[in-house]
Amino acid sequence: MTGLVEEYLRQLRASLRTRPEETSRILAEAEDHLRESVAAGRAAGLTETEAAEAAISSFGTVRAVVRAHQTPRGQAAAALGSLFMAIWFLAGTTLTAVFAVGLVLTVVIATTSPPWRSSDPYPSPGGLAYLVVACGLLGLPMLVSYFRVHRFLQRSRSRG
Amino acid sequence: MERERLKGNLDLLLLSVLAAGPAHGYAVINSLRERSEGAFDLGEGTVYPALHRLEAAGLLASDWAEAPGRRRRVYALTGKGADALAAGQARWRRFAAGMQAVVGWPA
Repeated sequence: MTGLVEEYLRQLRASLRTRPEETSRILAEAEDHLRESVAAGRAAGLTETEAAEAAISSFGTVRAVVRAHQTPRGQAAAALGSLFMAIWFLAGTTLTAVFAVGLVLTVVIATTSPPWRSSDPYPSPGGLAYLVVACGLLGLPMLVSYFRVHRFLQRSRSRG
Repeated sequence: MERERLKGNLDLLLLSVLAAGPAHGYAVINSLRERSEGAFDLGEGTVYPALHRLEAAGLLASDWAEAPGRRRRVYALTGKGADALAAGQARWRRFAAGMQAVVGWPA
């Protein structure tokens, strides 16, 4: 089997959101189809690479094949999962950014401003420090756990 | 032939091809292309979900067969599939006759 077909099947395996036994069947059928198609191309006088490119082009993009195999329920679940992951990433990034900016601000205020008095018209730098620490305590673990889950999902998909 | 219109009739086309005898996916798709003289040229990978759906509906049965160095899934029409094909053909004939009566063949 050519490297192009192997790479296509690897991408297909990583992208399918189907049950394991279904994934196995889809991949076996795709492999059989592509090998037949490459053999037909070779018989028609194409080189191995040309035959593989033609076979993959006729079979369809990974995205189109994945979409065709998704049930409406599966499509809704995939969209919901993507939305959840996006919100998780956005929340983690925002809280971490607030932590980073707040940390710099707190240090600047603490080193350049005169000591805070209760009569001052702005809030205590101590209050800002608590907020910054809270953002860091929430945001950093959120971001780290997001990347761990993301990597776990990618690995489990490529293992099929 | 527009792909959307073709997709709407894909089930009937697949049942018709498999009425000739059991076949694996690649042969089904090739037969569809040859019998339509190239007019029906779908993304090949998108035909398999339709075969799976027809099997889930009990219109097709399938089983693994050995091919050199790999396995392949062979599909066959069931009794229920043959009935669905006959009903689909009757509907198609009525529709085609109606269309031809109104639109006619181009001069």
